[in-house]
This record gives sequence, C-alpha cells and structure tokens, in this order.
Amino acid sequence: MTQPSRGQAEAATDADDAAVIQLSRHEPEYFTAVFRRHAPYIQRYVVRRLGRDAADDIVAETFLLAFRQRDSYDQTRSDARPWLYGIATNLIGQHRRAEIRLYRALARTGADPVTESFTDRVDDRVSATTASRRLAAALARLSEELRDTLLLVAWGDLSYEETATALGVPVGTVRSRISRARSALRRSLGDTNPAAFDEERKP
Amino acid sequence: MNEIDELARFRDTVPVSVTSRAEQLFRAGLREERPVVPRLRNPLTRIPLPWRLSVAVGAAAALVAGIVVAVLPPGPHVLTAKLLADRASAAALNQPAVSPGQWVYRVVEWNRPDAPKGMPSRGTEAGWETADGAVTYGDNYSVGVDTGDNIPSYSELGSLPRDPAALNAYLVRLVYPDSKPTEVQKGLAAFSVIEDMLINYVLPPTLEAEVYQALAIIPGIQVDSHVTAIDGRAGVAFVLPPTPQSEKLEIILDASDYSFLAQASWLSDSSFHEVAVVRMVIVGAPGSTRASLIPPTAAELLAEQADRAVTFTNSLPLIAEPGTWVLRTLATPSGEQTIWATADDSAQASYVHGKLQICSRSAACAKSTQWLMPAGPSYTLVNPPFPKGRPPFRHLPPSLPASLPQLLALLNTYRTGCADVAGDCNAVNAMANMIFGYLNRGGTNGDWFLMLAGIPGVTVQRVTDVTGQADVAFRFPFTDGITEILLNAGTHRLAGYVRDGVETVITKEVTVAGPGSRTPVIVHPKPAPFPPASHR
Repeated sequence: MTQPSRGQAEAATDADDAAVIQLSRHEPEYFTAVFRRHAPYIQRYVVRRLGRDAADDIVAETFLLAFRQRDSYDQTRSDARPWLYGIATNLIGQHRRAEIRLYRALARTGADPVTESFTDRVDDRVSATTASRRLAAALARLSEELRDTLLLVAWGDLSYEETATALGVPVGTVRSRISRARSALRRSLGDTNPAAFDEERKP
Repeated sequence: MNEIDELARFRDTVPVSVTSRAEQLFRAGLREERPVVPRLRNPLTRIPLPWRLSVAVGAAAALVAGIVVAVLPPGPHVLTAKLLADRASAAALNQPAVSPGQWVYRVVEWNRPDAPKGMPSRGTEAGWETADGAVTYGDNYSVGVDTGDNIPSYSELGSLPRDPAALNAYLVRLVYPDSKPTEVQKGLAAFSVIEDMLINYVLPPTLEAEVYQALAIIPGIQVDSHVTAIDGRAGVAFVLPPTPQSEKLEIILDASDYSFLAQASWLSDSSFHEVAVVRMVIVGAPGSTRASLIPPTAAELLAEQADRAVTFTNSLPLIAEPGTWVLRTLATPSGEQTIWATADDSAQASYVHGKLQICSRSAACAKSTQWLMPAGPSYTLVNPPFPKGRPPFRHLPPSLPASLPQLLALLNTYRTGCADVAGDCNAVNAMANMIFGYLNRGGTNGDWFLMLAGIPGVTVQRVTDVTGQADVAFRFPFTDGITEILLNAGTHRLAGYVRDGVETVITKEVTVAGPGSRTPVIVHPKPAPFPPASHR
C-alpha cells in the first residue's frame, strides 16, 4: 500500500471533512488530517469533562472508532464535528462516575483537578472562581442526558441541529433539554431571568 | 453574562491542544489492522474496599402506619393507572423504613442500544450507596450518583406535600421555578422527577406510596401491564406517551410484588434505554452484600477518606517524569528544611553551609532524601513507563500487583532493617518510601491506604503535628522505622510521618525547574511533531 506523502496529507487539509474521509477509505493515512483538524478541540472537551489522565485514551479511541466507521460516514455532511463529538460523548458516558467526581471535587474544594497547575499538597493552590464552583456543582447534579446535550452546545460549540445529530435525537429534544439544563444552571448561578428562559424554550 | 458564556469561560481554562500521547495512541492504532487502544488504570475509579463480612442479621421490617388511600383490591380485569398506583403504594408501605445514612447494595442492569460500534450496549453495575444517595462506592458504579438539581434533596423529602396533585405541582416548580410550563411539560417534569427520585434514593415508604399516587393523576398517563424488563422479569409500567418534545418514558414495577423495577426511555418504536434494579439489599457497610450491622474499622474509614482525597486532588503528578525536580519543605521538631529531589529520588540536593550540594541517592552526601528506609520497590516498578512500540503490546513493563494481599506480600520481601517483621513492618516501611520518596504518576494510589488499614494492630489517632495542624494518623504498633503516617484531619491529604520517633511534616511539595530553584514549574509534555519526523 502506498502511503500518501506528508505533502498530500497536508493538501487534504484544504478539503472538507467528507472529502478527506472519502480519501481515507483507501488511504488510511488521510484520516490523520481529520485528527489534526479536530483532535485539539475534542481533547479540550474530553479533558474538561474527565481530566487529563483519561483524556488521551478517549481522544485516541474516538478517532479510531471513527476511522473504523468511516465507510458509513454520511458524505453529505461536510463537517465531521457532530459525528466525532457524538462518539466522544458516548465514550465519556462510560466514565460518568469519574466525571461527576471531578465536578464534585472542584465544587467542594475550589481546586480544579483538571487545571491544577502544579503539585502542592498544602494549601496554596490556585482557587477556581466562585462561578466555576457553582457550575461544577450544577453539572454534577444534571442528568447524563441534560449534561451531554448542554456540554455539546456550550463546550463543543455545536448548534442545536448538530447536537441532535451527535446524540441521534430530534432537535426538539435538544431544545427542551437545553432549556431544562439552563434553568438548573441558572438557579445555581443565582440568576433568575425569566425572559432569557422563555426565549429559549420556543420550539 | 449568561450561563452558556460562564460555561465557555470554565471550558477555556483548558487549552485547545492535543497531547503527544493521544496522538501516538491514535497513530499506533491507525497503523494496526485491528487497532487496540491500551486501557490504562483509571485512578478515578476505585475498587471497593473488601470490608469484612459479618453475621447476617435480618433487618426488622417496620410497617409504617398508613395515611395513604392504598388498598389491595381483588383482581380486576382492567389495570388502570389508579389501580396500579394503589397496588404499588400498598407494596411500598410494606417495606422497612431506612435512615438516610443506611447503606444499600444494588445491582443494576442497563442497556444502551445507541452505543457506537464496538462499545458495549448493555452491562451490569454493582455497588453500595447510602439511602439518601449521598455516598456511593463501587468500581464504575454510576447509578445513584446523579442526584439531580431538579429533584428534592433527601432532607426535603419529609416536608413534601402529601396530596398527589399538590405533590405534582411542587415537583413541577422544581423544574420550572420561574416560568409557566405547558400541561405537557408539567406532566413530563413530574414524571421525570419521580423517576429520578425512585432511582436515586431509597425513599421513605410513605413517600414512595405517595409518588405512585401522584404518577396516576398525571394527565395522559397510561398503563402497560405486559412489560418485560431487560433482566427478563415481568413488569407493569406507568407510561408517559411521547410528545414532540420528549421520548416515551416508563416507570416499570415488578409484576409479582409491585416494587420499583426499572426506568426506561424510548429512542424509537423499537429501541430504548433502560436501567433495571436487579437486586437491592440493606447492608451494614459498603463491601458487604449481606445484611450486616458491623461497621468498618476506624482505619478502614480513614483509608477510604484518604483514597477519595487523592482521587479528587491529584492530577499534575501524572505528567512528572522520573527526572523532574521536586522542591519539598519539611517541618520537624528541630526546625524547617528545604530539600530538592528528582521524582524518582535518584538525585537529591540541599544547601550545606550556603552552598548547593547535589548528590545521587547512594552517595554519602545524600542526606536530604525522602527515601526513608533502606529498601523498597524501584520507581519504574511503582510507575511503569509507557510501553514502546505499537499496541497490542506483547511485553508490558513489570508493575506492582493490584491485589492488596499480593502487594503486602511483595512489600514484606524488602529488608528495611526494622524489628517487627512478623507485624508487616517491612511492608509499611517500603510503602513509606513509595509514598514519600517518589512523586508518583497519577498521585499516590488510594488503594495503598487500604493496605495500610489492614496492617495488624493499626489504630487511628487524632494528633496535632509539629506545625500545629490537626492531623489524623495511622499508628502502627512497631518499635522502630515508620510508626505513623499523618493525614490532614480536614482534607485527608498526606501530611507527614513519624520515623524512629521523629515527626516530619511536608509543608510544601512542588515541581521546579531544577535543584536550588524555588519557582513552581508546570510540567507539560512537549507535543511531538506531527506527523512524526521519520515520515518526512
């Protein structure tokens, strides 16, 4: 099998995801362009949800699962992000307990286990903001479905339609979940603006 | 500033970058015909503590005086929601009342038909939790930890409205505190909250009886009297039909005794998520699967607390390399000292008469070591390097045994020169070297505390350490070597130790650029060139 040269793989970065995935069916090396394009964002998403330790495996697994399923990729979708975020979210779902532990740790201690920047067993660690602590506490208490939906929008930067694709649910379900999740968060942050709330719930 | 912006700011504390390790794992997998991603031990999931099992004692079933309308009617031909609610309420009232801190052991089975290819679509989890859902134990046990913000806290349960309609209205306000939901949304909200309460808490029998009555009056609620739960048991279900905004939802009761069995949400006409409670037992302590009234020892509880503390707080040591320099400040009765050592403690440094002296650990000048005793496992055994090459790996580097009895036996083979060999003093001393001498990847392994808790004769003592801080100590019945390991009484993080009668408290431990440096440095692995240079 001839491997595409670095130059060819580079050139593929100008093509849209569907085209690159199409190319990778015969030349797996092209799939590295998909990785290169999206992995830093997927990694941020996974690290924020599960911490650095688990993230490497999950990011690699996300792209390898995607690679194995590349034949069934919907070629009409030029942006692979919903597909990739959906896979990553499913993998994260197997570590729900770990994720909740991280949020609870941050909420309780004020020290963010994910971004804590150096080891210090005493108390001069960087404190997270009050808002982060409240957010973390609220995230820990959201149901898995609401959390997945909310974080795909807020952390994955997906639109409601893209989130619906990622989760395989109707877009109306995404809207109602986002609205429920936001109301839970808003209460945690102490902001009760009914106008913002109502606006979100229109179908 | 809305909550989505706040969330984005929270996310932005993590940089947009991919680690070289993730890249390497991906590329290695890509080159394999059947890619395998090695699964490393996730320090966030713990193995449950093997509590001693005790004599089974049957929990006395307390029949709660009924205030609810429930009567067990003679078998009718059509099961209405009201009738199902009455039967379920009667069954609930026959259950024993439990206190909020009561431990229960649960086995649940779940399915997830939309799992991606190659991922399990069903599974079983088992673990322990308190009746109020506040504490859970068990490897990967995730049910019961989602005590949602949308559901009443356990302490509120006693003050919920007793009338079914008032109860529903109250639950709806939890979900929609500051807006006016539609009728459909109201029903959905009440149903969802009740579902969450049933799966997250062991409800007081009277309240459980009341929530079934509340379910029965949700507009549009239906009954399906022929449901099979995923564990194969026959069930009868309260069904909330699908709407444009929601899936079809079910609360399934066991058809034989009307106890809560499962919750399900339908993805399509033929596919659904379900969590079924296969087994639930009231037990005395986590670890036991039988009714038990013997609580864990103080040392076992302290070990659990220490385990949870390291699980929550360690993240940076993950990326310490063996040669990373660590600055430690130590407080002792004879004063404070500052020492430097590498993560693997192979080299040490300290100021001697104003001059920085750097020594290898074996050298005579090595006096600043936190390698406390003369023998113990090597750094690479405690922190095995990531295997080279591509997965699947034929030869994994040697590592410590995961089983605690095996770990204890191994550590006892090191000759640390202590007297009480029969009492496992060698194992404690060797472990002190691992805990204090090394900066471990992934932090101190929480399981190690569980091993310490099992040392014969270990006790737990509250002490005030040399810095004046309140500590709680594992105290070992030895005459020499390590006799105490101190944990901060508030945080349960490692504080220090007593060796040969001398107490030492580590007041600071940070990674730095090199010996003599006092500025904390973040150790980040350098991203590898992509693709790797060899492919250019």
